[in-house]
Amino acid sequence: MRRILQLFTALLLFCGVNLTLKAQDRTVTGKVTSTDDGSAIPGASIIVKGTTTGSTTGSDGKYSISVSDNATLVFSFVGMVAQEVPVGNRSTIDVQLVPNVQSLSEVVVIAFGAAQKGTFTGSAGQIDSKQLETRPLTNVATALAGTLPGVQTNAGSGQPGSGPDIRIRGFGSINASNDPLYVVDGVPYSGNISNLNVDDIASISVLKDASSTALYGARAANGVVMITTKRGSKDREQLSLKAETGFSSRAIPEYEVVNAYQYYPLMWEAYRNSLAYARTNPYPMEQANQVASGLAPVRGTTRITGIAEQLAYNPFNVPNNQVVLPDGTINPEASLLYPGDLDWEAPMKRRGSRSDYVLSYSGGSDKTDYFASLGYLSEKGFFIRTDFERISARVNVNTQPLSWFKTGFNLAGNTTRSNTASDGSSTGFVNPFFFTRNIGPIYPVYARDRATGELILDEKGQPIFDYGNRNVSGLLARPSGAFPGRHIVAETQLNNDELRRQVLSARTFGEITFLKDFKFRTNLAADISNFKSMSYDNNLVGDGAPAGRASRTVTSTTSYNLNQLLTYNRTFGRHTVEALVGHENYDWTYEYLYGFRQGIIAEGNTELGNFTTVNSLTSRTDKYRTEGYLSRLSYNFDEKYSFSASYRRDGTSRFSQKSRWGNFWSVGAAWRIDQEKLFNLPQWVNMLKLRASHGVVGSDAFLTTNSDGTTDPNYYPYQALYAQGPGVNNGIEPGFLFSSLANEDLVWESNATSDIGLDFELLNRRLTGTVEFFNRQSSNLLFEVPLPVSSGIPSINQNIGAMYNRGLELQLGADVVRAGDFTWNVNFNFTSFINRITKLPQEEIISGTKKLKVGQSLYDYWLRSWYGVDPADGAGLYRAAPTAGAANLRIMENGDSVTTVFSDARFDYHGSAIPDFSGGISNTFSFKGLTLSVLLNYQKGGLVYDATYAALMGTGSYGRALHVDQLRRWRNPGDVTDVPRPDITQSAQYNAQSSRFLTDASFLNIRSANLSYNFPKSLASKIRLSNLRIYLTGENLLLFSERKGMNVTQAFTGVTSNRYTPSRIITAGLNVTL
Amino acid sequence: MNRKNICIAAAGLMLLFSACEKDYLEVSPTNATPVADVFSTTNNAWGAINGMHRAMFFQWGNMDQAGQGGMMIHLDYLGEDLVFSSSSQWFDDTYRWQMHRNVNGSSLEWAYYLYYRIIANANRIIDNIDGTTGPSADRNAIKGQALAYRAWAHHQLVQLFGKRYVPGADNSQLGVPLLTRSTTEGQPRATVEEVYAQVNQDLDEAITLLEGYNRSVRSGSTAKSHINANVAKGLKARVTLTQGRWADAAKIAAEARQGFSLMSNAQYQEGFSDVTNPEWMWEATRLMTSKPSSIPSLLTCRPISTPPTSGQRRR
Repeated sequence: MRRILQLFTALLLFCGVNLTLKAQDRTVTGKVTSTDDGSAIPGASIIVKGTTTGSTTGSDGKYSISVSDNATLVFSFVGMVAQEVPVGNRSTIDVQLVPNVQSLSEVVVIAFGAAQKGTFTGSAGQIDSKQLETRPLTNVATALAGTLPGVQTNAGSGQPGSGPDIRIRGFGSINASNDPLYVVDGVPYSGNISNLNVDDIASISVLKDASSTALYGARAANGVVMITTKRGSKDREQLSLKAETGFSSRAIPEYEVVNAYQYYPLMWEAYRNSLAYARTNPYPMEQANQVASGLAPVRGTTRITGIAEQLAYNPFNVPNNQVVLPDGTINPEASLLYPGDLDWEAPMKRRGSRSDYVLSYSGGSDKTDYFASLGYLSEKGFFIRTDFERISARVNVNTQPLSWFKTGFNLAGNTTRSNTASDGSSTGFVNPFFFTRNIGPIYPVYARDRATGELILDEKGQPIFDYGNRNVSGLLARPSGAFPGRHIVAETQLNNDELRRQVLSARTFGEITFLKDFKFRTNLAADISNFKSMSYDNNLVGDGAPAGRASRTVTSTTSYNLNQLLTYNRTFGRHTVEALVGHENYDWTYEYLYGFRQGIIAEGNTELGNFTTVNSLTSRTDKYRTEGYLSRLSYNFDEKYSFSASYRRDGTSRFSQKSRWGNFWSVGAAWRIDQEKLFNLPQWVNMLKLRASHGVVGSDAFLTTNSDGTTDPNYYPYQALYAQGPGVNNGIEPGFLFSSLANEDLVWESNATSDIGLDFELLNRRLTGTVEFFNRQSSNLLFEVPLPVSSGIPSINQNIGAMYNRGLELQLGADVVRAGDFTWNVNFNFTSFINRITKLPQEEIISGTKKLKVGQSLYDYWLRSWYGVDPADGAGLYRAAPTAGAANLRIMENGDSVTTVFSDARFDYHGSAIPDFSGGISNTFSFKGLTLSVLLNYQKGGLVYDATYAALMGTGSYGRALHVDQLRRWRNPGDVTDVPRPDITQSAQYNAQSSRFLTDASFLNIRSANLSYNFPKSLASKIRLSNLRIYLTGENLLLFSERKGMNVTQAFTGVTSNRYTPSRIITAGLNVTL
Repeated sequence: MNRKNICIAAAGLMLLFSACEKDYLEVSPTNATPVADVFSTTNNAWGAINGMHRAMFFQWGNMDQAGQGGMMIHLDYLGEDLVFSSSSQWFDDTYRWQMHRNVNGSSLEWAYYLYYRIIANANRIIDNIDGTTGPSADRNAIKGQALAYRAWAHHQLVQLFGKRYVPGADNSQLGVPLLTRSTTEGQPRATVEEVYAQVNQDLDEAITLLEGYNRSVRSGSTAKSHINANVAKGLKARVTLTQGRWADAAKIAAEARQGFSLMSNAQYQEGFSDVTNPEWMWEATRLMTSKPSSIPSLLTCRPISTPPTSGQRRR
């Protein structure tokens, strides 16, 4: 790129610029080089400050200029930071110019065009390909984590190919989608964002305020992520190859759970306590000890039911009644018969891998440019049978065949196949993370002889899985807490959960230039994505047993986008005017087909035809269309004052004819204070810009909540409908059932966003940054407003809520050290916002761990108030509700009323899942060709409701794993601790969902680090390469948080669940450019 | 050059401001049907009746909520003549009388919703059926069934949520809201007397409209799920029984059983699970395709092989 600029400037100076060389006192000579690689810069300009006297460097970077005494020389070159050097009495001045990364990306990609950074009135953050090229990213959304202020990401899943969810400037909606709009190459993208090959991406631009998003009108409320793919550059033919390969593993370790030697006594104690502290007829302590150890029969019987009988499996080398002694300690003689077979994670885990190969070539002539790439990505997750494989290709050709006509074609296709872990339900038995985390540490994976602990082998001499339901004769059934009849290793191996996707994405345009200042452009885009998910539940163990069952889901998503844009661009003296009018159509179709059959015929074949019985067979087609008229007017005076206004009128098929058209608009202004002669800012202020914007954008992305809590888009929220389908047919007769009420007045959720920002570049652009405040007011929020039950329909969709997000964003970039070959650059970003609900249809809405109420945030916890553990009997105590029954009420010494019964507990607000502030810090160190860059993400404040930890703290279920915190449980009267008495019977009371399981959500994450080495050009060119780079890189390297195992940012709601743990990826790569 | 530019500009502007067809933004779902289409023809309106029949036996929410069948089990559990010694999970609270006496009991809201949803569907049919095209015999049969459902559901509700009807008394105690039109406004509770008056009026109208409706003509194997005049009379017989109108009850019950024979000794041993049983007047039939992957069973979570049936038995 720089070479082109150099040539260009040289040419310009050579041909056009007439330099007046006045006679001066003496001559100064020298050489101008670049700090980048030390090479000479031809065509750099040297001007005597305050005069028009100047010179340029020759092809060898050398110059000579006549100066008077006390003169100051200004050295400048496109893409470099200008430098001023006082001449003094020197006659030779060599100068090294520093590349100005900011100025190279001075153009920001915005809606329907690009804006100059210097005059841009909106708020946007941009990531360019440089920040992406050495990171092993499968999903482009991952790149946004911690790199831009105002952008929140959750941890995402470790499932290969998946990425995090993105929230821009808080949470603008309660019941509609909070996802931003993804726009790929100028067109709203209907496919999955993981379709994109990150190596094809030139830049990602995140549009945050109304001034930059208003042209996306009814879909812009949650911000816009603009992704632009690469194109070729003129006169620079190149062929690049990237190859990287590495390993993936768990990024967050497992929770710390107790081992078998600790587990047995703990469960003994839970059993013993349930006898000794029984509410009616408690056992005397001594007898309870004997019974729990299996040394005395259960009262009134002759039956021995000790802890070993309760847990069913005794993995030790001592008899059942000698495992735990009557004093509650493990028998010192006891040792495990098969210690290697008790870890269920081990057979599920493997060393994951990731390989990524991309071949691309690009180039161009005066009239045509092209870019083509072919990529292959294969990622194997660190759990068995989870992977992601993608082959992607792209061709982008642009040409100008006639002086007044331009056209181009950008075609991308890919095919993906992936095996996925069944982690959709947090407590599903087929969820490998739930199962391996929660099964007690005493149950073997393989069937074992009960006496000897030896493996039981099948006829072929192979070990047999122990399903825990006596599937091998002589075995016992696992107790209810240890998943009897289920076996995650067997089920994962035998089941199938696979998906495939084929995607075709095409963009084309024609652009006509006429009447000098006018351009007419029409863009046509089509995105087609075909998806197939194949699932098989085996016939031996688990959900599908004994019949076996399979399902196929086939969907096809097709979207077309057509727009026509007319632009006018003219500069009159110091005035620059740009006007845009346009029209846009968007047409989206989703076809869905689902079949589900059971009763496998021939084992090994999982196609639907191989099953006897149809359980479900259905299909549907959904449509969504929008049409919009758009316009924008920008005006700039002397690069000093900029104004911009935009307006879009949008119609959507989601609302009734009566109310489907809405108006969206924005106004913005920017003032370049540094250009102002009046103030005469000091030298070290290179740029100072104050900007402000205000506007209104909308969201029509309404969702419906299914009975299982998942959400689906609602494309017909205003219509009165009768449900149909197999669920409402009356046998062989077709049926309908009234399902939704009409609301013809339903309109957009709207967001009025105000933004004030200050952009600055100081100290020779060594310090750059932005400070900005935003206020995002959401109104007309959609609610399914409950109706009287007697109306026979639960709710009606209405626009009724309001909420705001207000915050501060800060971004600072500093070249801390610029010492010749060594540079150290720090980039810091910070976001803090508050979220408040200002209007609701009801006084309060309780949903899960949250309660929505005016004056509270969307994610404020509403939980039982945990009080502590009663030292007298180890009971778990909650603050008592005023209505609490007297029977379970306890009055503490300080007068607090508490209860041991969770249903009598008082509910209170207990803080929020939204952090006080969060952000990222990146450090880049460069020395010659060596670059080390480290990206940290941080968050301070906010709370996690650690539900997965809470599950490990329950002692109510024989066979369920326990967290090591259980070791500091209450044991004897007088013990002061925060972990209640283990008690099979009382556990549900003592360990109920409450404020006890809220945990500080502050964290520091080494998100990514990479070390790369660019071979010197001289060396690279010897082997006929224009560039050669090797690198070593890691993602998700280390997480520091309050609790080991806790996935702090798993969900924006703050509630943890059993999901695929994020993966750590370490790869080595090679980048070759010819 | 100039002319070319003008042509291009004109073409561009035309493209720019050429809006789409007017109905471009009108889309409808394919897994649901707009109300207007449901009540365009009697053929479609039959679907609205059949959906109600299905609602009598599909799973509404939890596994115990299998339509009227689930409700009948709940009511049986509340009785004194049922002994159940092991845990049944879904019905435990009902059996222990911890459900219907708890204002937050989930089954209370469900019972209310179940019957009022039936009523809401019936009201929509009654409101719209006159505008459908098709044979008037069909319109009568559809409207008659909707009226019978409305009466039956109100009758169920008033028995669950009102003090009992006392023969000869004024019965001005509060019953349940009467919903005789489609509305989303909450309605005041009507007196028990008013509810019974409306129930009787709806049933009388239904019996008149259903006169001459032969359900096996249109509906084959599912004929017994439909309400014909016999069934409507059977429902009326029950209403008169709860009102203590013994003579009316005997008379209407006798009319209702016209055309039905009693079971043979052999049929008594067939398990009461066959729709062809001659004594069953009103019953649902399920297809394998309409079966969820595990059937909400009567007592436990385990799938059972025989589908639950709902309906009434003639005594």
